[in-house]
Amino acid sequence: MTAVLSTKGLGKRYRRRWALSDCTLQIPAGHVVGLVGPNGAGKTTLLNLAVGLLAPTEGTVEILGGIPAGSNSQLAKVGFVAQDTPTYAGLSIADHLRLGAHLNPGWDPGLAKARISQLGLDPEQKAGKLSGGQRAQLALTLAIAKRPEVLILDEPIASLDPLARREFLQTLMAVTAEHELSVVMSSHLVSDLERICDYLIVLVASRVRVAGEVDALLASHYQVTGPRRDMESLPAGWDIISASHTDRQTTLLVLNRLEPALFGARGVAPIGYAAFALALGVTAGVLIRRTVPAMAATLAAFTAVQFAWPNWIRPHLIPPAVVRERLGTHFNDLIVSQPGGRMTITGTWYKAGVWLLSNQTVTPSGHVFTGPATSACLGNSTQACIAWLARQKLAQVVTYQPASRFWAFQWYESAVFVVLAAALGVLCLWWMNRCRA
Amino acid sequence: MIEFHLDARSGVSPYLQLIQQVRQALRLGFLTEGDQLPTVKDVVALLAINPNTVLKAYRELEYEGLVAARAGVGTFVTKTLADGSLAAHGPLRADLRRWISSARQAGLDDESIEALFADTFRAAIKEEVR
Repeated sequence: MTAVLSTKGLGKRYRRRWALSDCTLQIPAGHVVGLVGPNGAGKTTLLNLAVGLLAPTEGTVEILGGIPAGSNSQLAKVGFVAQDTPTYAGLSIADHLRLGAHLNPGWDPGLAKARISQLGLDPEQKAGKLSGGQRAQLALTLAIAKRPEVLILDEPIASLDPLARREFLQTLMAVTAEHELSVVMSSHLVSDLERICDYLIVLVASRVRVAGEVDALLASHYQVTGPRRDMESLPAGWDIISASHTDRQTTLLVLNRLEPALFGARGVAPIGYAAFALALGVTAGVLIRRTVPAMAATLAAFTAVQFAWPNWIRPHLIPPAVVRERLGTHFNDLIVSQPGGRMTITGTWYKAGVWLLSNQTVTPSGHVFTGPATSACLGNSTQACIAWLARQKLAQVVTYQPASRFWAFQWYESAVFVVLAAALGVLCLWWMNRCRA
Repeated sequence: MIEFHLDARSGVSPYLQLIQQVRQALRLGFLTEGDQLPTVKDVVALLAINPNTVLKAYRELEYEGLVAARAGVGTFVTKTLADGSLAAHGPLRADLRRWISSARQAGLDDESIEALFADTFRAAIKEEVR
């Protein structure tokens, strides 16, 4: 599944002011993406950069794998409705459709006409005479009728009344379901986005604060309320996003950002590694007596231990937990190996505060799922593929370590490595004594 | 065919609400084997929600073995949850209606009626257990 929009270190400066800076994003296809943030956070700038109306000051931006507005075929793949849904006031609705037909290679005249009559609009009416809601619907119709792969909407519903807003979103969702579009829309109206979006990007002060699938974000953020206390420290891997206090109560928004990589990255375990590496170097020097071979031997031994440790030794010291669950609603990768045409699936699995070690998709009989690539999943229809996968009654076997074991692991690990280092030290002393004798 | 509705204030996530409504329709005999569920497009066009939400609900139902998707056609009910008691539903419903109207006459508002029913229901279950 390719990225709809991907940016790397993207920034845009207007004279002295940075409207967007250091924006790195990867938005997968098939989502309805909500872009939220206060006024002036850079939402419009980001969307204009994405469609090629603005050129970046720094960094790169790609839409559907190409440069925004880089070619005619690229332009045809992107539908865009700018802020306040602009139309030509002096032109009639029919004129707008004719204009669209002339300007877009993939124009679908049937779809455009059907939408206009469905909305109950008179094609002869001038766009300037339309209500705000009708104008928004016209702009959306134009963007949809060009049959884009991705639709970019800048605050499309901000100026609409609740009824028009609902009608607009109904149309948008129906089109999204029918044509399997990806949608990126900015909005202030969180209550509407809640129902519409399954992917969220939060921009604050020209930077990306949060980006991810809504389910994953909800699974990793917690609101905690309890008796008043100062939260100086939380267990490793938990961050406080915001804290508020009353006389008696403390309310925290906390984020759990535990990842398998954290095993070695934090805590006291690195002290053990360092002691071991040092002892290893000294031992190699004493035994080999020549710098380069000694360094090579040290490096080789250290790498071997660092590889063997997480793969074989650590799982034996503290066996991980294993659970069997049904295949998650979001499986993120379908891997089809091309020559043999076999396919395998990796599912996502969300559980707060665990280190995920492995995640395998298995059939009801317990075998790792792999099968001939089915036509349902090779085509463009994600829905057909999901439906097919659901019929296979797949489960995922997840191996993980609960976060509660973090410190147990840290001490265990440092102790083992320090003992190894000490043993090497003793070996050195013994060897030096022997040589002297 | 059934029509879904969402209660934004219930605090129940939209996909769970869809599942509940299908299960309830199956239990009350509104949906039986072979009936088609609304297409994803129809549901999102009515409720203005994310298509993936509907897909998630339908997949869950499929996993429970209540419905099956036929590629390119739609999603169909494969199992019914209604049992032999279905015939008794009509008279019971009529009784309940009479009870509700007498509760109204006694001056109870919606919330009081719901509270009274829920409380009596719980108490009755407790007694049955004993």
